[in-house]
Amino acid sequence: MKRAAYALLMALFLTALGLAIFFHKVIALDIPLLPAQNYNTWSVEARISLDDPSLFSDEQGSSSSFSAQSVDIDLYLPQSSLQYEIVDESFEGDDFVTPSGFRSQTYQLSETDNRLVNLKAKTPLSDRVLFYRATVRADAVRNQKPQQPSTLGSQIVDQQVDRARRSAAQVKDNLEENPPVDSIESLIREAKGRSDNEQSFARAIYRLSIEPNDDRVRILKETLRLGNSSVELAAFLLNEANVVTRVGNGILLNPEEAAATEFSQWLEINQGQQWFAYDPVTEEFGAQSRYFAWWYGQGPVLKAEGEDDISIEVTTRPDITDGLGRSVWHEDSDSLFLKHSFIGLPLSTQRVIQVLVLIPVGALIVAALHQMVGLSTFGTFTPVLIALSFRETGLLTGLVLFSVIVIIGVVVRALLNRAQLLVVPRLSAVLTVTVLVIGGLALLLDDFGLRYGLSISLFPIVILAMTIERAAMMWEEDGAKETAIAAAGSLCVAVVGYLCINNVYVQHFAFVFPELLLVVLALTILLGRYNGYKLTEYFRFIALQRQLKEST
Amino acid sequence: MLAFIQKSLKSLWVSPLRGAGILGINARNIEYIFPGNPRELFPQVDDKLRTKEIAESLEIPFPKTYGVIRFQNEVKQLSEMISGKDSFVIKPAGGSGGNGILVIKDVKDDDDFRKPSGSRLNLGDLDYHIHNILSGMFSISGKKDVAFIEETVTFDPIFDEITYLGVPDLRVIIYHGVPVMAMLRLPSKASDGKANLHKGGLGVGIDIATGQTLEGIQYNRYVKVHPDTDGTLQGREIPHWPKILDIAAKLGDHTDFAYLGIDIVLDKEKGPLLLEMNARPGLSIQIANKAGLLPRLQKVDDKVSLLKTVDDKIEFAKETFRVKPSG
Repeated sequence: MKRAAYALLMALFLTALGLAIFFHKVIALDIPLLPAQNYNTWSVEARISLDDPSLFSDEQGSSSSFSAQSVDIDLYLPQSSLQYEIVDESFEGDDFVTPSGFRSQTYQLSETDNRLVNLKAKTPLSDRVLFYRATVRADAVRNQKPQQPSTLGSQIVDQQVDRARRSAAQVKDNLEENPPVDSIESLIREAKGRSDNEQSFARAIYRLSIEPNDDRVRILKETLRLGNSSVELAAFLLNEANVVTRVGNGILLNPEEAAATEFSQWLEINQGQQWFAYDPVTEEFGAQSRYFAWWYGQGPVLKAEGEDDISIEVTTRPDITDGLGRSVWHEDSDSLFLKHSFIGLPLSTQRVIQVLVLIPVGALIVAALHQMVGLSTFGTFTPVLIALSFRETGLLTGLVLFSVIVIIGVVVRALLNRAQLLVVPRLSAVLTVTVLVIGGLALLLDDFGLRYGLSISLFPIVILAMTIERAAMMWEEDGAKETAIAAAGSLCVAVVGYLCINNVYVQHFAFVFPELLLVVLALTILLGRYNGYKLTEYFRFIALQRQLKEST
Repeated sequence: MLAFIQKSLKSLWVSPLRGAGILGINARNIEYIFPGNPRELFPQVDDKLRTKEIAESLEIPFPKTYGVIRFQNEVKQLSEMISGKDSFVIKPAGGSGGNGILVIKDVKDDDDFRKPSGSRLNLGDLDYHIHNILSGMFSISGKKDVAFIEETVTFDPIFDEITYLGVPDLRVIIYHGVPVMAMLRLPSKASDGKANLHKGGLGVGIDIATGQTLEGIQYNRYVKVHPDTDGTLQGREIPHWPKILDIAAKLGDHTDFAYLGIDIVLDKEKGPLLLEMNARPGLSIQIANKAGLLPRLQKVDDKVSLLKTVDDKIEFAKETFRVKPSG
């Protein structure tokens, strides 16, 4: 009883402490209780990778001089606009000399100016990948508008296609040889007939430019080598008609996480020293508010010297901790809890912490299922780790992959067992087999065009090997039935754990209010003194209970 | 205050299992094992060689040890240890639940050993088994273990009718030195000759007062006869019952464990031999005895201060836990 009281006191103290900090943060510091629904903040990451073909032809003497050249990259950086503000940005890449004073640069530049950064890399390159990371905050005032364009909008919004191949010189040659004057004049005339001022003229031009079946549009796009870009065609036509235009390039920030976001283009015209962007959805001119602006102009986002094959991939991720991000960055608060918040850590560290803070929740679930339900599992905490790896693969894929790998592993281990290996070498052999199976699966899945190859490699291999070993041992000692029960129990705990830790609210609370983990700890302590029956014991003792009832 | 909270909670809902006096695994750990069995004592029972030392000091009989193998390079001494023996058992000192026990019933020659099932093993198979034991494959903690070779027990034929292969043994639970519940464990086809209940072995309740067997269970369900031999389980007399109670009570009295399971095997000539002790004895014994442990343990708690000698405790157990003939 003394110990029970001690445990209870400890649990009460921890709960009180955790809740006190929690309520202080919610009430006094005004940290939002729930994950942001509007997604005011995004993490934007541009991954610039160099695929150097000379790497493979190094043995040929002719190309060695080429690979010795230094890499020099000009990259446009996104800019803050009325709608989106860049709150934080950084470069990550071992090989690159980032421009000095990059961090101290002022981020709010005049709207017309592009931000061009020159990156020099030391050769030979070891990493070949450079990351640009930015945190972007949407202006709350404008946040009421729909984030995603309607279907009509997305049809109209043109995507930049392969503009790197088009060279200005060729365009000029083409124009001189075969000037499509007729098409240009015809289009301008038609647009002028439909409009009474500059804005409606631009609108008419734009409408004409997006017409895919118009022969004039098709011919112009071909001769100008504009690919599919109607925006650039519209800009070209407007320039021909002496309207000052520019082409904006940017990305759409979605409420969902988006990998490999493509740059979208939009048209702006200049009137009275001011730029007005054309919104293809509302067909109105106004301040550009749909896209997160990256650069203006028709050139590519990056130019590289000494490097042929260079690609950029932009990933955006809405940040659910929006409100906190703002409180940390924009209120010069003296609060201890704001100064020492996980949100202040670098993004890469945050990612690790985000997973770490989920482990106590998973551990609590395991403890509860173990002590109160009585599920049999392979190893105590293996299911939590399985659940964490499900985060990478997704639930269904994870379950299938896990089962397949473990089943193959158990079969191979049975074959190994015939050779009567000693325990530790056998474990090593199982580990090796696990790696081989994962590698084989990755290749197989890749052949079928499924993109799980990467994610299975993140499966904790040692955990898998131990699970295989335990399953095989159990099979030998306790038979297939017990093994099946334990396998089902493990997967059951893993699924429950996954559903819990993958819950947006659980993630938000654990990360933004880590003090609530003290409450989790308190609950775990109380579970440690749980002397009631397990659910499975009701079934175990069912015959005895019936007998006892009969005899009384 | 806490007691008050518990009382008021109890007035709201009592688990039907608690109401029936059945001890669950959480309550066993929290209320009996944690306070009664200090962790530092566990090696005394987890290491069977230490258990034997304790038995020796109390003059309790146990199966003779032929030899101990502690290191991989000692494995080659095996043939020396078993030379001239017709039968023997290889056991891991730190094993649990009967895992890793290899019984050789018949030694044909240096390289031909027969298991009770008749299957043949050679010396290499035995070496491999010992290597597995030494590397901790069967030990509770997974740590390095020690293997020992022991004489086989010639089982009392009294159980032949209700045993299928393997070793029948007796489990007595003692609490503060008082035998509170006992059970006969019988191997079956399903349990592969092992007497473990969760592997399909049978458990038969025993009347503490008389040593008479009660009804049997398999997989937590009641059975009247042994499924493989068709022998009736109920109403058999356990031989040497007073001696068994004496061994159990003595061990309970002389070790510092409050709650202890004692496993005894009956040899045809030597009578009861101590096999091992268990500081975390299972709970199925309650089903076999058709009785919950909780009321019995509470009765011991109430009276234990008055019971001075081992004999007092046995007498108390016989009086208190006698099975009333059911109408």
